[in-house]
Amino acid sequence: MARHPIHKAVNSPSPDTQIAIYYKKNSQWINNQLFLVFAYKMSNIAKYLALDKVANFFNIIKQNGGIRGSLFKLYRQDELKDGQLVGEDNYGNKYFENPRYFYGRNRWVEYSDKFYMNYDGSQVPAEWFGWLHYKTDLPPHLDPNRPKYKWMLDWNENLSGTTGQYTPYSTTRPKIEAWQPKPKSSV
Amino acid sequence: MLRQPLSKALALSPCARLAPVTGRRYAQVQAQPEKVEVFIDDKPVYVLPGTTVLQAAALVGVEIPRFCYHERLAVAGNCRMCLVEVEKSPKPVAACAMPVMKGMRVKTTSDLTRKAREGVMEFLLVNHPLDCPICDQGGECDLQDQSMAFGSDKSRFTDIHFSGKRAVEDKDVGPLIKTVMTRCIHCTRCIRFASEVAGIDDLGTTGRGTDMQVGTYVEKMFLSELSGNVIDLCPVGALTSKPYSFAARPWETRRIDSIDVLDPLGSNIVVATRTNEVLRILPRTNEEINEEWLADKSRFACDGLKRQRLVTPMVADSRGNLTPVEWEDAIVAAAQAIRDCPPEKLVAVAGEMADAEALVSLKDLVNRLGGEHVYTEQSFPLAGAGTDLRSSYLFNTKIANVEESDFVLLIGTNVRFEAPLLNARLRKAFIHKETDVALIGPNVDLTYEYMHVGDSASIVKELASGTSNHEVLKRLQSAKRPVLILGADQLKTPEGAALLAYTQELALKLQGKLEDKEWKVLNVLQRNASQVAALDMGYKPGVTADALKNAKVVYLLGADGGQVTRESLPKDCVVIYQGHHGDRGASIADVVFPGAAYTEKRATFVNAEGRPQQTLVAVTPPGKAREDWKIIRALSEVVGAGLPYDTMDEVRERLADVSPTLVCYGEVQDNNYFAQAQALTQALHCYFAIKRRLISPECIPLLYGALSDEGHPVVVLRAALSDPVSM
Amino acid sequence: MLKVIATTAKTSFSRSLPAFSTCTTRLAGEIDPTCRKEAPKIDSDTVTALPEEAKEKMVYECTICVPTKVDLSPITGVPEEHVKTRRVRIYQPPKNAMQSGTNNIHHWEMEFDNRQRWENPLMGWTSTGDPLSNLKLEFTSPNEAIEHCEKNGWSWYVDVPKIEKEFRPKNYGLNFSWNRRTRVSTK
Repeated sequence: MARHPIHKAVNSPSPDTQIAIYYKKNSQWINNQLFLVFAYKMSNIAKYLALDKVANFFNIIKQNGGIRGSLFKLYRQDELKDGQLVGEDNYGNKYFENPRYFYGRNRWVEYSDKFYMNYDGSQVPAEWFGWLHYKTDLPPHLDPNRPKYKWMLDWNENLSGTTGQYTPYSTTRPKIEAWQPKPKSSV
Repeated sequence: MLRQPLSKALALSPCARLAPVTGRRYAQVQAQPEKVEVFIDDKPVYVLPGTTVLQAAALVGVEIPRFCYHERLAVAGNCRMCLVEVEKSPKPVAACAMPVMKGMRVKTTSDLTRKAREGVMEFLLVNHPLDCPICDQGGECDLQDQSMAFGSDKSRFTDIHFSGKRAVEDKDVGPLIKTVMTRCIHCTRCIRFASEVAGIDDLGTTGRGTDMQVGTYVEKMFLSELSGNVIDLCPVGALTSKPYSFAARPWETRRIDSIDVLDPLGSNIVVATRTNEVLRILPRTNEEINEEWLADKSRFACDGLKRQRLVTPMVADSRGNLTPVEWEDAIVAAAQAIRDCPPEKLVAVAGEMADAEALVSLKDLVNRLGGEHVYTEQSFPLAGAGTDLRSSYLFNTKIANVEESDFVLLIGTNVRFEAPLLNARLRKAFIHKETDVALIGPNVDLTYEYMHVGDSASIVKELASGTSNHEVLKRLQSAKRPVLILGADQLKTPEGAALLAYTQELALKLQGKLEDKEWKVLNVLQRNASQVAALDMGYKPGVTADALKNAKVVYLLGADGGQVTRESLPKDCVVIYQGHHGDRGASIADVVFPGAAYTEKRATFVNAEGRPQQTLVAVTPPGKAREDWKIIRALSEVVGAGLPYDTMDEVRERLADVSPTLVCYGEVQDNNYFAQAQALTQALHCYFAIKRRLISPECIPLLYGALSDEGHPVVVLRAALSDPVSM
Repeated sequence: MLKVIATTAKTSFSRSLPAFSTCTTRLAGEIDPTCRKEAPKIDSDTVTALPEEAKEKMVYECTICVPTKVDLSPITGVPEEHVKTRRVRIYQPPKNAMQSGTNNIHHWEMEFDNRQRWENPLMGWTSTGDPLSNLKLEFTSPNEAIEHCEKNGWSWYVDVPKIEKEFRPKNYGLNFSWNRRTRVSTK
């Protein structure tokens, strides 16, 4: 599973005495920040002109694999979002995050293509469930404390409504023995 | 003493004024000179001389504890639990055996009485195991109950360190009764029952004192058709029911009062159920039918209600194999066959456990379609009055009145097999009322002595014409209350009409000379529970080969008697079977409707006397099975001849329309058309020579009804083990 | 009764009520006059009340006797299904054949018709949809039971057991009689 940087929020500036050291260490990052500040100022204008929306739109289209890919995703998921790919589980489900979206909608899962339209919430494994529902900010592959034993079973989706579903059955002996008609023809 | 408070003195005065009034009231009773006055706990009671103290106490509602005493058995007086104090008597007396004396003052709750009973109880418990938790009698045990009142809270039994408690080897008395003889307290109720009521002198005691044992001496089965009653009689857990062993506790079961349909008497029963399952069947007291007893077949057949059941509707597929279907498909298939069938080719046959509601619905259905062919399996001669007059096919004397008779003539019936409780009545009359019994038919063991007249039916003719010089004719003519009991199985044959005609003539001749004009002489003992109701409704007795030969649709309502076979039907005939067990009927059927057994429906059954009684729902019919009349009602709707009743009450109204006697539950209506029946018979010249010997297949020496499955139609209830059809 | 007389009489005999209460009309009641030592006391409120007030008070205090049959079924809250379609059996419980004692059967019981039971597929236990299946009421007489059933709108029938039997004195000597069939083989 590939590792992806996690998007972090902008920190507040450090104390003055540390700025130099800090700048030295993080020059690349600070340059980026400065670029962001610039871009932010530019975006004010762009925002005023609602050009950021247009940029977002193209960004989203781009991230979702062009026009065809976007249309397919829109058809499959009913929404298009852009975000950081946070991780991918063993079943091919991809987990994204984008803090631009409102809390509660800023982490999401794109189900593996193999599910096609038959995706449902139970296909998210237990370890990703916690991240997806804000129980933890640590995605499972970055969590060192997550137990991993040989005997732990793979995650199983809910099979209700399919042929693999569980049906309860009586474990008691039948009280009535039914009559079995004797077969008439020997065939 | 003199300084009583005024209020007390005033309170006393009204009593003093009232006293003479009460005295006068008793004086009136005393006018009957034969009664003597005794005082039970200072309550005065007037009883016949010779009455025991225990009976006198029962009259004023004082119940004296007892183990050995049973009101339907002889007095034994050996358990000593009924000891009571009698004033001026030096010792406590056994209430069950002590006749009352004039002015006797009995104290049933005094200290002496209590101490005596506590002593008896302590001795009983010395040799009684403390295994109530694993005892089947637990919860309904007389010893358990009475030890709560008279038992000690601690033991003085030290012998456990030396010789231990008495232990007795268990006896093997057959597959129905489980014995744990260590629990026996030697009340000898089972012995007395066996020798007095069942008439099998197999049980007895051996040894004395602590070595005394109840048993059969040599190992053998307790071969009686009433053997199950010793389970009820046993006041402890020494004799318990083997099929019911470790099944349930009495407080867990629901008890539903119902009626037995496995013999023609309609014994009253209590069905004990738990978790929708019939666990056991117990007798229910009905003095007019079964007293307190129950035949083994009725008692132990309930396990058959769980086997070989029809639980789903079935329709024969293209290869003729019955396959389970939904109700709708089965009803549509049956309705199609009935609609395609011309009404004169539609034949309905009712079996031996059909209830009156189903019978009336089936007859109404056939009649609405324009058909007339409704038959029962059991035949009855139609010549003469046939079944038009109710008195010619009923047990007119009534079961209880048989005891009053002084001479009983059995014609071609093995009462012990066909109606065990009637035989118990006959035996009771034989012992206690000095009734004599004679039998025409095979020489079978009826458990009491009887005069064997012969086994030829022609004897009846000779008796009727008065030409016989046998002693039995004189006895019959001199009898004040003679009874003739004719077995219905003898009427199956072509000579049956003549046999019935001669029996009727004989009965009428005897009746004409009686002082007691109310006394009925003629009785026909039917063989099954449905026949009387079916005949009351106008079913034709005995399905004929002609009717079957032309049939296109045959509707079997529980008809498993083997009268209808595939060979007797045309090739293309459609057979519809409705019933609760898969047997002969279902195995030849093209459409099978699962019905309800007698423990699963509220239904009317008319017993041999013509007494309608109803069963109650004890458990739910299994699977998709439904109440029988409802099935026919549903079918009628699809056929297009909807029956005009939707609820049980409406069906019963219809029953009342057909015959009001069918809904007078528990009552027997008197029938008195003997002379008319005989006149009709005479007019039609039914008399012809009868020479046949009376042999019915049931008169085989093996009398053990509940166990001898072979050849008996009801046996389907007794599991499929020996049934050739299902295997 | 007393108060009614008091108020109606007030206009004519305003102050002589105690004397009025001893008149013959009251003595005609069921109470034995000899056990009463003095005239009943009438509280002053009743005496001084205005006719309207007295009448109102009487209306509040009197009991209502309804001579007609009472049908409680509209107000008991029992569903109509369990009123109209149920049938009550009124019977005397039979003696348990397994026991000699008869202490608990000297009353009358009512029970409802037995409805369907089924095996619950989960545990194999027996279920029923009938709320009245465990209802068994005891009465001292069948009339009480009938009254109760009619009040509740249930249809009923009485099942009278046939248990009266002829009284036959038992005799220990019959076991040993030499000329009767009651002589027993086993003593």
